[in-house]
Amino acid sequence: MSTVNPAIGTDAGQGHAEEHGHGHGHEHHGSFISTYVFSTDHKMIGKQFLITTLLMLMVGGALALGVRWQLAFRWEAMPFFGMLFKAEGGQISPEFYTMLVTMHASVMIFLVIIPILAGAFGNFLIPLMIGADDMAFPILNMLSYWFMWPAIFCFGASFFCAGYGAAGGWTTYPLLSALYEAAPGSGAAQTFWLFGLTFVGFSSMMGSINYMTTIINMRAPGMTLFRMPLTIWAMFITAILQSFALPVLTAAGFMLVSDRMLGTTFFIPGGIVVNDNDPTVGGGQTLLWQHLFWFYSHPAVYIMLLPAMGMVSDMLACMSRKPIFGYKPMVYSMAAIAGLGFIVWGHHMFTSGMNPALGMTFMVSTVMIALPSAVKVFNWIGTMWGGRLQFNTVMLNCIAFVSMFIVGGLSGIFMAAVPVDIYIHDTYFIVAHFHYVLFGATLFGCFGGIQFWFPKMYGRMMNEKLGKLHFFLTFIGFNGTFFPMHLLGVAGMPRRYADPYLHPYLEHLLPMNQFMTICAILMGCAQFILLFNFFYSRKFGPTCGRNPWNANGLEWTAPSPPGHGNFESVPICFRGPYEYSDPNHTEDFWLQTDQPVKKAGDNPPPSAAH
Amino acid sequence: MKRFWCFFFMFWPIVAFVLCWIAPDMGWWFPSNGPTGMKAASPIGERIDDLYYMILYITTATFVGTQVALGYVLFKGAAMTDEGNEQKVWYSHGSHNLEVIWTIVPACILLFIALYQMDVVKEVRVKSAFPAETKGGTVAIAEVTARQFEWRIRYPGIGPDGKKLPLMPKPQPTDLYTVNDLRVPTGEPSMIILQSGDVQHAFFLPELRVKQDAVPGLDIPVWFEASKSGDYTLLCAELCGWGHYKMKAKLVAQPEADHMEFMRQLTVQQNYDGVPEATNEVAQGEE
Amino acid sequence: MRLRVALKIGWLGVAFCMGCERPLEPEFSSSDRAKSLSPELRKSLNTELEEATGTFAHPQMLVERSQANLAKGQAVYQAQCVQCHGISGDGDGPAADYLYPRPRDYRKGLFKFTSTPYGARPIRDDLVRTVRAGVRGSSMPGFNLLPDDEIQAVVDYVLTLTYRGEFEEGLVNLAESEEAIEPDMVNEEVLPIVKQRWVQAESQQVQVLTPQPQFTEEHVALGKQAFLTVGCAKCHGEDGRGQMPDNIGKDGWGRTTRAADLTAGMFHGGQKPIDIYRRIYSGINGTPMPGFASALQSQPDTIWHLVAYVNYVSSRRREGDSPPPGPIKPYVSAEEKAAEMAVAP
Repeated sequence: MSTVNPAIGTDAGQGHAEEHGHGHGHEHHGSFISTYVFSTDHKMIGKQFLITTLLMLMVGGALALGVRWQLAFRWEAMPFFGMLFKAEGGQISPEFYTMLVTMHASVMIFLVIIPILAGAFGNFLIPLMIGADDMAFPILNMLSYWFMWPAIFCFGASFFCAGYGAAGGWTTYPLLSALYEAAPGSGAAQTFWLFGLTFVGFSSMMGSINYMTTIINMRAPGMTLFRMPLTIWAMFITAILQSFALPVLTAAGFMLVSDRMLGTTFFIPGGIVVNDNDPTVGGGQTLLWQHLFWFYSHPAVYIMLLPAMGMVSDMLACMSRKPIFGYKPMVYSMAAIAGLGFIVWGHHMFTSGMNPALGMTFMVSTVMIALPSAVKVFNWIGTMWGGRLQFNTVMLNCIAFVSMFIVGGLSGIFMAAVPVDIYIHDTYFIVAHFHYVLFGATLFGCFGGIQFWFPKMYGRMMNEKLGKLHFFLTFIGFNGTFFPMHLLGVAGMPRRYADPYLHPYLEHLLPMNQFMTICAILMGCAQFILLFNFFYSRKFGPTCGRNPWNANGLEWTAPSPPGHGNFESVPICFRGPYEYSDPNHTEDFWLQTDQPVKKAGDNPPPSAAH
Repeated sequence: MKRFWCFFFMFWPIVAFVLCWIAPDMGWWFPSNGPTGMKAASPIGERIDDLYYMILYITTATFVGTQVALGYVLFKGAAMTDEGNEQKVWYSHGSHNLEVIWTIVPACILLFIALYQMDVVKEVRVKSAFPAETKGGTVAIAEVTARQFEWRIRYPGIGPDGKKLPLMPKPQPTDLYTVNDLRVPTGEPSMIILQSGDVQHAFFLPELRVKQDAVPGLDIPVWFEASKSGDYTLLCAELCGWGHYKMKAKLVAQPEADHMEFMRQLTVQQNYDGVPEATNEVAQGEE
Repeated sequence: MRLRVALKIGWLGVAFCMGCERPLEPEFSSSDRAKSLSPELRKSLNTELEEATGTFAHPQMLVERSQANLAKGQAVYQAQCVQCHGISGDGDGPAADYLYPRPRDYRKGLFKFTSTPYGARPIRDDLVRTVRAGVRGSSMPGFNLLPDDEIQAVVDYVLTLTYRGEFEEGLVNLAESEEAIEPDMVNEEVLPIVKQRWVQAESQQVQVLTPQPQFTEEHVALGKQAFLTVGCAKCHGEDGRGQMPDNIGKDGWGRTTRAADLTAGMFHGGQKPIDIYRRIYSGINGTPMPGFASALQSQPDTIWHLVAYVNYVSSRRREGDSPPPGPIKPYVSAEEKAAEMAVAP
């Protein structure tokens, strides 16, 4: 009786809602456009974000495979995608390679990871989990999705500009990005790229204002701050991070655009001669960009991670049938990560020539930011400890999250130490580190989240077998691709090299790179399983009840999928979201909305009777 | 099936561990092409390696510890759902004492890691702590200018007394130039002034564990010491355009005498005007 | 349902395999002028060309008719040079469109940085020197880390491509004037001319008029005077920055060009005194920069003074002397500037 059996599901929580009927849900029949396209319903916007980002994930993955192809089979014609390249015979030319690297990172960060967490899951989950009928500002919410499209257009346009695309790296360090003639291939493309970045910024900003307002003002009765699921805490902290850090990047982006187009010299020092052009005039500082950029982009790393941490905490507790271990330390550590996240940006610049005293300060703060992450890992293991683990796709992805995050966190300590960072900075060690955090942790968390909340989104279960197959292949492919990168980094292989084997001390790493590329291709192919599972289950998956996982959160008391306005009646919250396997309760889960009873067994709540 | 997944999650850390264990023997470790093999080719580089190993041991211990704990949790959690297992779930909201322990202990280790490195950071980066030979970061052996996609090097010339002139901030008529070929004497700290002619580059000597960005508009002093004579790799580590990967150069460490000889040859080459010394008279006579 | 899935996967597989087609072997391409000939003429032209210079798979050096070293040279060229200079040395590789200045088109036989007089072919050592040192201020890097035999081999290959281009041009000229390409005429007229130019160059190496002095401030002052009077300032401007309204010309490849901004310090032909001396003495091939050999015949030391001054100007900015702003960013390329100027009265 105690374990999760998704196929049956329970109609828990429906009891007190039934008398109000579904009247609320069926009154809002809009046209096709207002329902599916310009919808202001947070659930539809969340789904729009989700599908868009999944498709962008495939685009970004294809770009990554281009990079991997070149590293394994350099200057050889690339199958299939090779036809799209102008370069001779489908080869990847060096300038195209830098563009691939840049666009892979840009697409993955700005069009996949940030929007899938904040846009897709944030939108879908926040009102449902706090018991609100929609976001505080539905139209702003809709705009935040539709501002993604100019961004996608701008990034996409930069592919088609002369010279294939922006080639300044996703960090767009000036002067490579500030002077046209420094990267002649990416003339207009780099400008488009910067505009794309600005649009992404608009989108995130509108989202985060909305999230903050909604979470502060629209919680259901009884949903105190410390009864909020950790997902909501994570989204809340992320929204704060984003709204404070983002204006800096937007401003910096405009400064760079004006350097490129209007003749200002914010980032351009005087007397610089690129190729055969006239020396530049001006007194700018290129380091300024790095400071501004990382002032946003380091908090952005946590924007790309915290929501996944929150979601995984929820899923782990549910699938272990155990309360989360150390709820408040989890919240505090997230807050600590966010707070420290603002004062560690300089660790991206240890080799940049900024004042060494500053470097030492950043070293201490950076090393200390590992602490809250460590606390979280211990708490996750504590959550699973002695639990009744359900080995389904959701759980597998969450365990992978924890396991991979440990690796990503530990490798971070190497680069927090300045002397070691001097050696591994801009080598593949860094690439390995952030892929372990952003793919190994965040994306596995997202895969788990998709599987977990899919029933709530579409009222159908995703296929468990396909989900496990996808997980298996992705996990193998992922570790095969990215673990050896640590070794490449120690061997001193620099990032963003189109042909590292030009250097004799890297020649012997070619076979390892070929192995990694094969793993990457495997991993890339495995994502088609996810897409197939997603779209197939949406149409043909078995239908489920309100609470297929026997979870506690408010979202599971709403119908699947929830109608317009989410809940039949305003839910009332009586306890925290992690009351699994309470010995005083007959069920191994206890919905947040269930009326408390004095003694278990005396007077069982209506929802538990079946 | 659940046991399979438990083994699956335990399998990969073991592979990872074994991979790292055998990596040095397989050559997947620090670059080994230089004259000193896998060992760092400079004293400060060796200390950086030591720090690396220290962090490696600490993180390996943590990695093994957490993975073992995870494995234990998984197997135990899998057994809980076995047919006929009546064991109750451990209903716990956390433990204050545990939280305190696992906050304080890692905090101490992390602080130790951070503070333990300060010395090396200071010696590598802070001018006043530079070796005595550089006179507090004022005496440089050469000026290295990174350009798309090559390294231009300016040495001070040789004076009438046969000794090296000091490197002046402004170019002098006596200066000597090479491309992609940086020469330093072996066994003594040498400092270069790093500049960028166009975009941002990074001066990377993998065998010596030296890396410093060349930032447009800044003159950045970098010092290093090659402990053995021979050729070392010099390359660029900051994306600087399409030819980033081919910004390849060499650092040649030579004994002092050879170094001076090289400088003398360079002087001759630099001032070569196509007129052999003996025929100068003839050339003038022709006009 | 299953069937549809299988079909879809099948389609993906087919699409993937279609992509696996191997690319064609690279081939030498014809020049634009050769392409505009009538088909018969083109055919006989290509026959002659192939007989004399071989194909991509079997290149052959025109002058010596040897093939030794070329395989190695081709390998180096295909690895290091082809991205910019193109398969047939037409300076039109995939990267060429994005480079300023554009990569050298070998087919005209024109090389800028030579030790021979204006208009003459370079000697072999000039090419070796350029490969080793690169062209500062352009995208041509120095390749001095390549082993010497590879540099020699790649220079051989570059010469092969150059001869091929020149020979092709000769054949086109013949075809256009005679409306036919006869082997006799080729052997009597076209081949000897191509060969002769290169043979002549060998004996034309420029010698300095006077030996290089030890440079002093005095030389710089004299150089400045000469710079303003001899004619340098006409194009390079009085301050050496080349910001003159009529500083526009055409180069040997038909592209707009202009006199260099000397304060940029980007001496394409090298910054050794002797390099600058040669640029002043014999000008720069294929550009409007003339040789001053005859103008300064009577005052040979002046060239060295100019060298001293040019060197001084190149580090003006570092002397703390910051000249007034140049053209406003974004950068206006020479072509655009020419177009602008054509519109303005």
